[in-house]
Amino acid sequence: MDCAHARSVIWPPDRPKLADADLIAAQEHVTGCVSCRAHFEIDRVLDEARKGLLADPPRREIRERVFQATARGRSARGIKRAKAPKRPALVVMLGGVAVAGAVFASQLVTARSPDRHLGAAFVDDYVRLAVREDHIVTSDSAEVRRFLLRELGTTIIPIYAPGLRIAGAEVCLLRGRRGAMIRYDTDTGPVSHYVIPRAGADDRPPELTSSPTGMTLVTWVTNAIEHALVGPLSPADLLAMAHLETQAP
Amino acid sequence: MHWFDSGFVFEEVLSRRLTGLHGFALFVTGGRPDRAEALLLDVVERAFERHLDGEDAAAALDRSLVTEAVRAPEPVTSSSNYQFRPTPGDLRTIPSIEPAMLRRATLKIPLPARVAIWLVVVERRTYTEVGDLLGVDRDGLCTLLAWRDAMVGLALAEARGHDGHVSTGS
Repeated sequence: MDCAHARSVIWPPDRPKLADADLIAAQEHVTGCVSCRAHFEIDRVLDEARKGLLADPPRREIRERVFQATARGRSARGIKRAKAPKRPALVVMLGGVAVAGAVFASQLVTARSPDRHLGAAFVDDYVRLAVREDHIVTSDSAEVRRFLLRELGTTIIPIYAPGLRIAGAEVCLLRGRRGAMIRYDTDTGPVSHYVIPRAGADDRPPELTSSPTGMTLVTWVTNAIEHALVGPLSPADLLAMAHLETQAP
Repeated sequence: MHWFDSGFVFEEVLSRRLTGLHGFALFVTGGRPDRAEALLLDVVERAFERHLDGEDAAAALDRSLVTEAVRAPEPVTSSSNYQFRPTPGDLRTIPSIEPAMLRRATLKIPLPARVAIWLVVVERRTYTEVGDLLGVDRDGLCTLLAWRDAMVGLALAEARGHDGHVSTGS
């Protein structure tokens, strides 16, 4: 057995393999070969640096540009959304939330771009999912506020209400606009609170809207921030939550 | 292709692999962020086109990674016949090799070698898989991978405070 063959059989050395005759012969070769031993020794020395090379995520802006490029590609070819693999049934409700979020997204631009249809929002939803590494999982509202201030450059206070538990927050892109989604847990399921800064937007009181899935959506505007609440709560409860936000100091 | 990449839409596969792709782009561009980001975008856009034309998402990313990296050639900044093989003594006394040192060292080795080293040494793919991806046989791949020793030698030299050029005596 020559060096090239032995190395190819053993590589990668840190993964378990079936000890067949070829592997045993390769190991015997390496044991007796100075060059091959040095080869694998260098690999061991490189291990820490190798892990560092693999752990360097792109800047947020680049990450967004990458996914915007794929979203543009889908739009250019008239593809609204690729067929996704089957997911567990419990995700159906979250899918409903996403559709309701898409309705919210369509409302954001209706005044300016009446020709844009709901389907395009699915592309944005892809982007939202794709950038979800920009997120935190926490029940600490102060931590969520710091996250939102850092990511959106504005102070946003999560809603406080009995039975509402903060679960985390993540960056989202809706219609190309950067915002965030605060996640709350309730006894009846997760509630999503979208916040999209929009300079110059006039204040608007909370109002109910229905999404195609039948899920209730409440939208309003305060302090130049578009809000939307989506979740499996009753319309009255969602409205009450929204009013709590508008009345916060 | 990784087994866990099968059955997912392109954006899901991309999301999972984006940090690795960025690391790859930094590696083959010598750690220069602007070039790396441009390369990353090129790889993704080309891969997405391939995917829309029917190729599996992970395979499209793999193929574009190879073609785009080699298509945007970068001159090797020093003699391409640079030879260095760390001795056991070198390996016993190394201070520490930082990822940035390895990236800078890649500028002294040919582009196809950088791609091969990334796929085999860093991502731990098999020789067979990488050989197929690069279109080279096992001996050809081993020739490319031999540049790893030069890269390590240059990184060691930098770690010891030299300028990255190590005399080969030739």
